[in-house]
Amino acid sequence: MDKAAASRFLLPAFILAILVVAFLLWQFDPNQVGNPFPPCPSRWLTGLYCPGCGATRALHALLHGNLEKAISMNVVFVFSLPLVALMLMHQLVRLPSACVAVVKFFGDARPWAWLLISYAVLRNLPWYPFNLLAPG
Amino acid sequence: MPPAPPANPNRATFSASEPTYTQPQSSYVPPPVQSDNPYAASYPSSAKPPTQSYAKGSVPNYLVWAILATLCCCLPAGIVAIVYAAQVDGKLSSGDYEGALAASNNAKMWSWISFGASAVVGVLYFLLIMMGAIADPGRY
Repeated sequence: MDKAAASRFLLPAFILAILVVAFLLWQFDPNQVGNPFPPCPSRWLTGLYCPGCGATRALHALLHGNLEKAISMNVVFVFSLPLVALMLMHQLVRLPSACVAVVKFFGDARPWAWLLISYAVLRNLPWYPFNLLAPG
Repeated sequence: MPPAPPANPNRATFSASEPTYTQPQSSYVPPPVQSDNPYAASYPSSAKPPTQSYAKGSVPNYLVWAILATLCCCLPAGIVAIVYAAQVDGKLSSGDYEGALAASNNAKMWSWISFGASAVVGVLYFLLIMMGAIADPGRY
């Protein structure tokens, strides 16, 4: 799919999804019992933290301006969020060349695979300092 | 007698800018290979130049979808997708174009599996919430 066709369908869909998620996170607190957000299925099934655990609470904290709490929920999610947003925009629309250079620089999947797999393992370790990586 | 002309300034710069003839490996973009060729895997590996390295990005690694599947879907399929995405870049740099294509297709497939499975889980969860709300309206 070329960028023109991709942006015609996917860009409105993504904008709509972002607005819906932002509205839900503004209305409901994922830290409270009985919130409408789905729990992590991996954690529900295995009891282990996955690389995305805490992402909903991190987004909630970001939306309410609490960067420190967002980082304590999921540090990799918070720091990769702008990069992933830029990569996603690169898939959908034509970006200025400076942004394309950033996307190309972070475009190799091998460091990402190492980062996310080791993150998945390390944040389940119960000892300091690895327990800081667990959400909360 | 006129003084000797100064040494040709172009001479030094010419020798300094003399091109070095190395293989333009990283800029070579191979012709598209049909990915649905069933015999692609059975070609002898000696048919490919052994040290040929292909341009980064000549085979899509679907990295952003794999990251999104890993961070937002919370399922092991996202990890599988990102491992295949990493294989695309590894195989491209080692010259295995067919292997990179196969890994690329796997990265795309596992990203879709992750998105699809999390959509199913999300819909089921929504239905359970709705059933809970119908069964016990006082809580909602």
